[in-house]
Amino acid sequence: MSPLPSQPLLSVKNLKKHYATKFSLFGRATRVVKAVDGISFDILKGETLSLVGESGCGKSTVGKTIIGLLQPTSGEIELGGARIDNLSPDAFRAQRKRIQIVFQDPFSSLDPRMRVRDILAEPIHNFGLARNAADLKSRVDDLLDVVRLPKDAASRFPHEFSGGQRQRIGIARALAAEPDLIVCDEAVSALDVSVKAQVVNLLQDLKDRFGLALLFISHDLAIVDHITDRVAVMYLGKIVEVAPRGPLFENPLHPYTQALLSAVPTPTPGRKTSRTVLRGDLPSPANPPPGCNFHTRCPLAFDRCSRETPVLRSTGPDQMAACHLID
Amino acid sequence: MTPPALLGLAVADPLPDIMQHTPPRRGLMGLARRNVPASIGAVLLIVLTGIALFAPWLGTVDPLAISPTLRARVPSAEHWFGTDMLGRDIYSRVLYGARVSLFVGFAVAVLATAIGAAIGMTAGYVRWADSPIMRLMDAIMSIPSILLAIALVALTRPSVGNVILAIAVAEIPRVARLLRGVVLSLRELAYVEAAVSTGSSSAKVIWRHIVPNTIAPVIVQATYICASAMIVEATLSFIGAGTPASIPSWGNIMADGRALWQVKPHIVLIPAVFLSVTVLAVNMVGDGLRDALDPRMAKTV
Amino acid sequence: MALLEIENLQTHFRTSDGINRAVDGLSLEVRPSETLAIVGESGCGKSVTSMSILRLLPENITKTAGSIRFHGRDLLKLTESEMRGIRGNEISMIFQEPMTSLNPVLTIGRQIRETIALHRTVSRAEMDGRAKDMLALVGIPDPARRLQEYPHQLSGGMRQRVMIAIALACDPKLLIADEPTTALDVTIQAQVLELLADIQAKSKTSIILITHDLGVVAEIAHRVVVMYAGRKVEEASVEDLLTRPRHPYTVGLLGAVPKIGVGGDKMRLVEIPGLVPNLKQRIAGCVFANRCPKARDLCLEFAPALEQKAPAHVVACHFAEKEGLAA
Repeated sequence: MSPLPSQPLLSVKNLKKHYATKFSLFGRATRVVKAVDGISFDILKGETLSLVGESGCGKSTVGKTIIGLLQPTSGEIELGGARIDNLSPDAFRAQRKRIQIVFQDPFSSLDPRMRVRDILAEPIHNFGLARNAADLKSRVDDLLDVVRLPKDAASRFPHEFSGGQRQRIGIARALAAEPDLIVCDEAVSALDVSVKAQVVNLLQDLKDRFGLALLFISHDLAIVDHITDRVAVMYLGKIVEVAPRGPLFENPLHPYTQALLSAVPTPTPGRKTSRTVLRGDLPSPANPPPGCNFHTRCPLAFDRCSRETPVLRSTGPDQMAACHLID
Repeated sequence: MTPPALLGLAVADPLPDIMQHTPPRRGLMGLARRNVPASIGAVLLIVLTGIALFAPWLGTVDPLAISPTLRARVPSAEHWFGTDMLGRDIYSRVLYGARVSLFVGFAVAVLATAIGAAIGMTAGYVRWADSPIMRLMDAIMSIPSILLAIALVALTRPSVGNVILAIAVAEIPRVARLLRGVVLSLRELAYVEAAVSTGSSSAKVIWRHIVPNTIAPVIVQATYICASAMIVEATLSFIGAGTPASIPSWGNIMADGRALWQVKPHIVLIPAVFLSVTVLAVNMVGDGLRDALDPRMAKTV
Repeated sequence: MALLEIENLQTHFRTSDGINRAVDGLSLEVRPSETLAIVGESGCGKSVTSMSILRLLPENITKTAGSIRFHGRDLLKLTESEMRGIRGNEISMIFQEPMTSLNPVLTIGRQIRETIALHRTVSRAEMDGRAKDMLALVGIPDPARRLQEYPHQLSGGMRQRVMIAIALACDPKLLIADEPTTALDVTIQAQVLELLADIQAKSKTSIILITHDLGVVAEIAHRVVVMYAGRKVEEASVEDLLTRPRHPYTVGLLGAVPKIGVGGDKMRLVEIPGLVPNLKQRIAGCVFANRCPKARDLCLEFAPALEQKAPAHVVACHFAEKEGLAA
């Protein structure tokens, strides 16, 4: 394997996305939800970074901001060293080709009125990738082949396919643009176990074959363990731990990561006795607790946690965590 | 093949069919059978449209011809629906009146939906335009539609064209509001977001992914507008602010019969029945279309 | 004696393009104070089974055959008013979606009281006391205050606890939990599973747990029924099933579940190739034959009967080895 290039493919710096949810009479925001509150990470070419966390932690917002469906409140997003978050819509459209997305819901992500052929042709047309009609047809055929769907799928409608097959169509649509990075926003969460395995294996193969980088957004740590190179754990809009896969799963540093890992049910008989079951609920992102966001549920919290916000600090090669206990 | 018993296999007993499948009837008859009220409505509407189109050949006389000797007669073999105060043949007037009602209904439906849909779609898709457009629509809606129509007709000369315009203006905000809601929910759908992220321009997203999915609710809304426009037209004509008296319309006929309604109720009753049946037919077709086009109803277990 | 005995249940639906044989010849029994898990992927008939028990399916397009005996009475033969006396009283159900299963305009207290009032003649004060006890039982802090609150004031995990409280309000003999934790985050799922296990230990209620997640099964079930294409393909105790699965489908399903700690660079998940068969067509042979790695010609022709292949372990496969049985 060739050494990884030093410059990251995608670089996110101090990204924030705040929503105003309540307004005063004069249109001033009186209540702000900090869905994403200052996160930074890099993705190298051909690398898979997973963004994990529970619902409401802001992981999907990060994905949508990166592909330009949402405007960041502040922060920078660089693609191949050039900023893309401040481009005009037209200039951004040209960059869009390089980042594509696969959505969670295989049913709502395909236009029910379009044939598969037209769904796949749309990005090819938009980015001017086909020289002529014959080229377009062969590209569509190749895409179907790559995602292991039969050729005759091209002339059928989405409702004629099962969930797993639809998700393959969604993946083919993302690949049609020949991107460098695909954001998988809970791309396998809605699928059945046996189909999920098929799609996860497919994503692995495609990544190797095309040298794709993946931003794999998921709440399912077990799937992440099978697909990822590095993991970033999010809690209430902030990254609490980043580490390569091995260290994260073998030696998680942040108490939240530890709790998340121990909560995953595994199909081995007998109840786990060493489990840390977190008490309480996720606080509302509109009203996060002071100090460390996690201190209200943390089994190890002490007085400093409710006063001072911990920052991400390096704890080992490529590993960072935000917790007062690891100072 | 060897019988399974010899191989030592335990074979499951076959299970009975507990339900028989009756394939749905295909073609026009199958469609009609599945939507009985809609089919009745459609047939009625076709008959009424036929009456309007072929009025001169259906044994009618000049609907404007006055005959002072035959005033306010009850229905007879000669005058099937009787005559009015000026001795005009009500049968002929009602048949010709169908033209006005149906034309006004369809014209308003087309005009109001087309303009309202365009406005609503703009408000739903162009974020900065949303608030100003919808406040204007709210302002128009705050005036009762019949008052608005009366005011608009009063400002102009009474004519069928002006009546259509006046009713359409009052209906446009309703369509716009509906369409804005539909577009707002559609633009949140993953496949619209997917189209945006695969580089489609806004125009393409609207044209390919949003417009086709708004057609069903628009058509359904159009039928309700059509029905409502017929009633408003009749009301305007009844109070003398609508179709000019020189053109027979159901509202005009009822207005003419108003003075005599206690002694000769048929003058008012006959056009009223026609109006009610027409409005009912249009609404039945609309309900049928809604059931057929609403994806939530089409879902099976 | 078994609490619930299902024998040869068939539940079929009329659809526009054929009869959907959603459940076809299912037999199982639920014993007093045990948790029976029904496992399978979407469309396998597990939810239809639970709806058939409570007779909640739309009657105009559904037909059922066979018998469902509860305390010896065949539920399929009861009148609708007799059935109402059983629903929510002797058999109650919790659903997957805690957001839509509660009425948003009624307080939590009112919703619990209504369930009690349907089946018991007690005073308002007694009902309030009972409602408060139920909320305390399901681990909701400050139950007296929560009784006055509306569903939107509670988090997803709390709502699912309220649903469980309502389901348990009349001391049912049998609780049917249909994917009770699927919509919840892992840390909340762990709490709810713990709660279900505790409640069962205390109240001796039998539970039918319907799930697609073998990890959840391992946590709280005693016995497991594996369903595929409307049929039971395997039944065993949870330890036996998870450690020594005998039906090729169960083997495939267990292999397809991602497990933390065994992932890695080239560790592929086991795929079950192909798709679930179309239930609108009659399947002559084994329902799994078209995806089965062990299938031979005879599997396509002769449907395997359920056979005891090991102590308390029933499998429907011609090629499952017998073991540990007296000849």
